[in-house]
Amino acid sequence: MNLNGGVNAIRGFNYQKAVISLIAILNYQKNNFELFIENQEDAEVLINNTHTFIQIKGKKLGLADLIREKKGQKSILFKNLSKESLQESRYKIVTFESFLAKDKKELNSSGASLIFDEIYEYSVAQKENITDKLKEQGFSEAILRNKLSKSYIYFSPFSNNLNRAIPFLKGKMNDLKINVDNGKGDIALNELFKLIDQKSEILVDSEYDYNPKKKLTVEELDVIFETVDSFEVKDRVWRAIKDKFTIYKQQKIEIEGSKIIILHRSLKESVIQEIGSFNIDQDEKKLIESLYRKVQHLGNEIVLYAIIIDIVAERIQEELK
Amino acid sequence: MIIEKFIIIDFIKKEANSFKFKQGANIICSENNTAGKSCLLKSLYYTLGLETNKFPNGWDYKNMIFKIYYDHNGHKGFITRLNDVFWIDNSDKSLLIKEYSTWLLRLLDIKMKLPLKAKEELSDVYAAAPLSLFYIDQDTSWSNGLYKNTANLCMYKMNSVPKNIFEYFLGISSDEIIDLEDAKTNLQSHKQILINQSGTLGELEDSFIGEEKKTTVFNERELKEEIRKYLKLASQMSEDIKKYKLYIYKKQISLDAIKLDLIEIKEVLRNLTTNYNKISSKCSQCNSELTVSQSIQRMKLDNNRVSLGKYKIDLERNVAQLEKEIENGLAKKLNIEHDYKKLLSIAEVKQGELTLSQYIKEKAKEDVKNIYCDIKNNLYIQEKDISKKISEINKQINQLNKAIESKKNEISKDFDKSLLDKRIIFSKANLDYNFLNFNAIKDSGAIKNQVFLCLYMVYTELLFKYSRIKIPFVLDSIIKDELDSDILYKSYSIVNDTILKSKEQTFVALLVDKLSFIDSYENYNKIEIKEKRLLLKDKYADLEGEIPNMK
Repeated sequence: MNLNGGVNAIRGFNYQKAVISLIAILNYQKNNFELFIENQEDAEVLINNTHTFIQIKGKKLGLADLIREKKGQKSILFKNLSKESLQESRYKIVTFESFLAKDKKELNSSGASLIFDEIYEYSVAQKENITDKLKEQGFSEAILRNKLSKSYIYFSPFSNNLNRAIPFLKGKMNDLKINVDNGKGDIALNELFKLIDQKSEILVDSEYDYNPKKKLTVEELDVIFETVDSFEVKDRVWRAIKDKFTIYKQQKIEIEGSKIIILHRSLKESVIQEIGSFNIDQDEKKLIESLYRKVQHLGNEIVLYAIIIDIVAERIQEELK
Repeated sequence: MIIEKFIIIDFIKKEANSFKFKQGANIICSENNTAGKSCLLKSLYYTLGLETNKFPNGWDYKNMIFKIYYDHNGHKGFITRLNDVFWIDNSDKSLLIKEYSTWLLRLLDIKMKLPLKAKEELSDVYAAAPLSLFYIDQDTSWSNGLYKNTANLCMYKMNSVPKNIFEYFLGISSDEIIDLEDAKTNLQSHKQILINQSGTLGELEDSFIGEEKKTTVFNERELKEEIRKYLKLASQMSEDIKKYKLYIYKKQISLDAIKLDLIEIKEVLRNLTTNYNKISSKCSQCNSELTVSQSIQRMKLDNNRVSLGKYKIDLERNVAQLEKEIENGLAKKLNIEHDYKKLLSIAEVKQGELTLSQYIKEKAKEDVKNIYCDIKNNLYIQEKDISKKISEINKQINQLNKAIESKKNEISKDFDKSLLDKRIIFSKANLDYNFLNFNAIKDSGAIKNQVFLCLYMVYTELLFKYSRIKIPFVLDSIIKDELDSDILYKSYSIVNDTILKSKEQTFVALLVDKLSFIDSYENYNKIEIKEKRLLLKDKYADLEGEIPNMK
């Protein structure tokens, strides 16, 4: 089987979700990592008690855009910097790398942050400019100056182009030894996006009380990546034993394996009952064969083999946890 | 022919005369010589067409118009002559001697031909030729050979005149035989041509028809070989078609199986999606465990979807591949089928050609044979026909020869007998002459005259007896010089017996004093010319009217 453009299997992609996914992937293994989706800001991150408000803008911007009022709406920076939390927060704008060149040039690199690998802060002049503008918009200068000192820009290495973003994200996942081959990456990201969507929809109770349901937990992320890993385990188990079957049977078993969740759940239960416990640390081919012999009376050979492989993979995964 | 009347008109001297004649003897007499008896008789025969250059002096025949009133077998007509121009009956059309001769001969039913001196062929004759036997002239007929000098017949072969003329009149002419011989010669040369043609055809039979056979066999073999090749090729194609059919069949079975799988896969994918969506739409107010299990569930479903999605894509690819292969296979099969049909039809045509070409060749051969046989037969029939005709002609010739021989013998006997009779009368004359021998008379003097007279009389007798053509006979006096009265008497007796007593129209000129030698002369038509006056002025006016348009 060959991959057929994994990106095509991605559902509901947008820049915001991609950025949030990136934040999740980059940081979920860090201690005390918490990620809130669309609470006060697009994303709020808590790492080691450091809180950050993250405004995600899937557009090509310049400094002027950040401080421009539009149709009675406050400017981006105004809104971002207005956010308050119970502790001192940082403020980040995440946008395309194709930020206005002259503005980008003036920014100062701040190196890696807690969240991102390289962030930028505004230059003195830029800060002055921002201050002036936001003051005009009604922002208190003192607060502004304080907040501006904790305000950064992060340029995502991808824009809202799915064909760039997804491979990048998968690459990051791969860096974390998360298996992304054979569509696993897509599955993980899809689920991540799904969770992000779900958490976005949950209503905000109050600005300062974070609804746990809006939190993308490490646990949830673990589940995603582990599940994806388990698929890999199954693949490995299959690779270990498949040559004991003819090519024809191999294909048939693979297909039936994909149908278990729909067509063969009850049979699977019966097989689980029948085989009971077994030692996973043995030659896989022999194991499969012995298990088959126990259950061959239960039904179709191909289906039974598919179920047995499924069960064995699950058992191994459990043991590896 | 009988001459009833004779008119002479001298339109210069304005003199004329008319003389009536009768059937039988007409004696032209006068007291003296030079009265005009010869003139009259010469003029008469001149008018008939006997050319003469011996008119007596003083007879200006060139200034004269002559007219004969004739009766020929009931038909009455005129012959008018002025110099070299003739008029016949009432016709205004003038004829020259040749045309006139043609007319006269037709009238008298004379179809005689004489051999020309210069050429081999026989020629139609002028009037003079037949007339020459009926005019014994006192000047020209008594010397050299009989009948030789009277008319100008020098254009004919010497030994043919008067012999051939006599043969014609006596009915012993070989003219008819000559015509038959000519016809026979033509037929023989035609037959030879046919024989040559037959010979050529015979040669062709061997070389021409024989060759044709070989050609047919050779082409047949080639054609059969070609047909075999076509059929072999067709058989190969047929095998290929079978292979493709089998190939397509197998592919279609595979395709069907894959399509069934595809249907199932699509159904499963639909179910996976449905289940996935069900999970997603569950209330998310539940506790985290459930959320986690939902995640796992969703991902499993997704995982399955991915696997099956890939499988579905594979299947669809296989389907497309198979369909393409089947399409290609079908196209190829159709191509071969098309070529196969084409090949078979060619082979069929070739087979037909073989039969047709065979048929055509056979037919052509047959036709050629038929034509050949037809031609050969035709030639054979023609040959036979000609041979038959030649044989008939030979028969006719033989018959004619026999008849002629027989008649000749008869006449010859008559001749001999008659001559013998004359010999008795003229004992001194040497009358040892054969029938139709017209060599010169050797005797001389008075004996010669006797010989001439006897022979003339004998021949004239024969003419009167055997000739179917009746022409008036003229004896323009016996010789003048004979003094012996005995001989004279005998001579006139012969003349009387032979000439005057015959029923034919005859003219004899003699002096009045010789009449006594003619017994019963008063029974004859006597025309006396008196006072040496043949033509008279007082007759001119009357007789002028006899010639229409004379002025």
